[in-house]
Amino acid sequence: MKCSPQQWAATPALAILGVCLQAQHAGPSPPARKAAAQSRPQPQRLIPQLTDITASTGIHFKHLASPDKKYIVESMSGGVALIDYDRDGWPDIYFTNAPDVDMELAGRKARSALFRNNHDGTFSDVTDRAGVGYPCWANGAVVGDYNNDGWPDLLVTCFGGVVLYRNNGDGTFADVTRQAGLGGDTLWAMGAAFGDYDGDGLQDLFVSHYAAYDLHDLPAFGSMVTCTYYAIKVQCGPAGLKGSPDNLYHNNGDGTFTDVSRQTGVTDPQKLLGLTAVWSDFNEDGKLDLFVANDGGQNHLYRNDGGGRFTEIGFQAGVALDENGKALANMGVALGDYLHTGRFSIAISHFSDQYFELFRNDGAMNFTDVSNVAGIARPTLHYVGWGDAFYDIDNDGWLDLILVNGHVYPQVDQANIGVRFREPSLLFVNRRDGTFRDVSGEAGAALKLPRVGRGLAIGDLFNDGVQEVVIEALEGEPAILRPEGGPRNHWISFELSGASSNKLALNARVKVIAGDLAQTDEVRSGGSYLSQSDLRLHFGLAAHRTAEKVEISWPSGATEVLTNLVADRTYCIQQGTGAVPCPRIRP
Amino acid sequence: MAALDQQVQQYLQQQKPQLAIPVLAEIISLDSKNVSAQANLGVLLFFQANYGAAIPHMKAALQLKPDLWKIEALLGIAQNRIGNPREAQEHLERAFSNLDDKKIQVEAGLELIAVDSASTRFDKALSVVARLEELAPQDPQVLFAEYQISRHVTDQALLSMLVAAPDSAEMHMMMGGELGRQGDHTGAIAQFREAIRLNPVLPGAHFELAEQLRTSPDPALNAQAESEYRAALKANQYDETAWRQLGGVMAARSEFKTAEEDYKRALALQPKDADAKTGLAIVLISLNRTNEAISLLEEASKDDPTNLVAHYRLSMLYRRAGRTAEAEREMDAFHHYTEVKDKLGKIFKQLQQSSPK
Repeated sequence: MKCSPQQWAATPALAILGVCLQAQHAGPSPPARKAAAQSRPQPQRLIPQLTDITASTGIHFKHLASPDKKYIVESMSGGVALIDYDRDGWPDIYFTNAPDVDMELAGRKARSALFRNNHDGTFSDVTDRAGVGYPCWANGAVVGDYNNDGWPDLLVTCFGGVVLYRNNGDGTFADVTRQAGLGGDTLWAMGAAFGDYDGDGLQDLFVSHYAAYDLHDLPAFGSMVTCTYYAIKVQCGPAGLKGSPDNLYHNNGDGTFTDVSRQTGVTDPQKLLGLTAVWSDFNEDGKLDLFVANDGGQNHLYRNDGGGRFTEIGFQAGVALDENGKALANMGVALGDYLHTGRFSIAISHFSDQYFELFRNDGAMNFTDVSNVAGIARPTLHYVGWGDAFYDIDNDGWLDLILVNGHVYPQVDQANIGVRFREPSLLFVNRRDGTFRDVSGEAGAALKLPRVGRGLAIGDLFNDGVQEVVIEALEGEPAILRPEGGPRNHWISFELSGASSNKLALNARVKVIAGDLAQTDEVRSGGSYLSQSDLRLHFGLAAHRTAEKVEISWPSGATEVLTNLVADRTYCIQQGTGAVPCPRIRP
Repeated sequence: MAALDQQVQQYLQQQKPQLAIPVLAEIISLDSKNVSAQANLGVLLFFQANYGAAIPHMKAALQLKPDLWKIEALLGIAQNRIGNPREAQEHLERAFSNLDDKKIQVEAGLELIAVDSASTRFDKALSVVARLEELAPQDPQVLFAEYQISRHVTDQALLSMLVAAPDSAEMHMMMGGELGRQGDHTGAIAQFREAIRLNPVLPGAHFELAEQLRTSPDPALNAQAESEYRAALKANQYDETAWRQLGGVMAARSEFKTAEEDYKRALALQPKDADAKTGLAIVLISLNRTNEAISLLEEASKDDPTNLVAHYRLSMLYRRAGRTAEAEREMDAFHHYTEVKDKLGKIFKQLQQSSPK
């Protein structure tokens, strides 16, 4: 019998569950676990070992990359999206791919890939059947449901606009970019996120754009001061490049979008180099705000004033710059309630000589850069960070932080300056007092393995209560890391379906109270770097076998409370109905 | 003669100097001791860039009336333009010290600097620049001249050292400094290490090495910065900057108590060091001693109004304390000085791009 607790909805099935829990804790790859356990140090706290299980998943994919990275556009791609495209309750994986300049000019394409979850620890390449292999020069991918039919759609950000793939519900996708009114977006798109900013139950779309860049007029490698790094000749940019404005597209409800960037006030008139964008109701006033990370410029925090208007308050809120007023190379963005305050703080990855930044949300749109006191600044100083996530690796009910790194200049390997092109990933465990401990050296060899990391997504790929880390690298193959050998903590997760709210329940919030733990999370489109994590919300419960209270705040404003939910399963929640058998919330 | 004078005036009013010139020449042929005609003809020829023809008339005017300082300044400039720097220098020096028209004095001074610099008399050039800075402290030409002389002096010192003591510790110090400015940390570090090997007590060597180590991209080198700052302090316990930088190193390592002590020692030596005050304030913020931090930042921003970190941090603390108006004031100051520094940064970048390594 396969263990898929999410299938059971809220109906207790304790006997079966007990059997399954045993199986889950055994895990899918005993040899790897055993090896990890043998090599594991004996720290004060049992740190799960992140084990590379990619080979056993059957995933074969390679992100293309030119060896020299002569142009910045060749260094930026590498997004990964977890999307349950067939709504079978098992996350599938989409990897973006991009050509290099020479390939593009010669008309050759790079193949992105969709892998279907086979429910047995393996995946099958369904790219061709799904029709999502060649969207464009693909940077990132995010999930939304633009036509609110319950089938998750896929939006790919491209060097040259976006591609919107409508999920046909039969295992295939259709490119509806033009008919959706998104064909006019021709700029270098990087971050994107769906979110219902005006509360009409439809998912709108924000797209952040990077540099104004012409493949036929490229800045020559090493040609200027801005094309050097510690006196080494490298690709030009982002310093010295002109940026592009951003766009907000309003969902018209008929399968089309209208560009409302100007009237809503989110155009980015300074044309900063936009990367990651995330929707969240930061001040808990019921209206979705928007955070945009800009490379080398101030971040934008657009406060939703209602009536279709936003005010940019990054400086007032304290999230525009670092703690000393310096504009950093803002890349990946993670949101999380790491302090159990019910508020989402913001973690941002950066370039080398800068630090992984943590803006603590103090409420009422006030944020404080606490990176140094939280203990994450110093260990991250020398790496170029990209995909990041708040991630409870051991299900102890406290969000940890994970970050993938990788340089942009392969030339550093020949320069003997103490910097390498491939860099290790980092893991920080939450010490539950506002600080984190760097356990990167204790969490297994797979984490430490140097790679040219870019995208990162988190999700329970095998529905066993353990969340995997999916990493896409700029060069070579992706990695799926599975935490093994950690403490046997309980967990609970939720798959939400809106009724008056959007069907994927984007930006619905769930607060889970279990004993002394009070955690809050939110369903989000996009985030990390060019990536999409599992839309289901997962909470570690530590030793608690029951969540006494689960409060769901739907985007429509409605709230719903469930009580005494048994741990170690996924609950499917339909707005207004509560926990239901999962097939009922799927199209 | 009066008619000719009138004709000259008429042509000059009509801005037709080319017609005035032959008339002035005619006046001089009739009366070679006519100071006004000699001087005016010299000036008109000068502004037609006919320096060779202008010089005899300006000289004649000065012989007749030696206190024509503007004419003497122009004569100096003309001599320089035709390749007589020695004579140019004499006239310009005399004119520069006697002129009372600020604008012309600046012009004469700039020419004199060019003459002095060309003949590598940088000490003289520097004294002229100092006087010009008093006269026109905001004048970009003056500031540029100062920059150029400094560059010349640096290059000259480097060359002299290369000839006099190519293997000296001091030579390696200079090379380290140059490489560091070019962003070559590895090269700079090697030079400073060699300087220390040759002379372990060479003033400033440990500090310069520490600075390169601290800002290197290599974490292994960063870790060595502390011991070099300590070595600098062992050599000179009154090295205020070393105390301040050591405070920064300790703060980055979250050793806040030690950092506080280091910053305080720096401030005991240099109470107006805005950077040390700001650094100490940041430490106090980490220790949740916000009120003390605010006081220090207020002092720092007064001591150095261009201190961006002080303004930004202060704005954040005011906002958290609900002092919105003060927060906005500090944020405005931050934006203002950011803009100024950005402009400067762009200029320096252009300079870097236009100058060979």
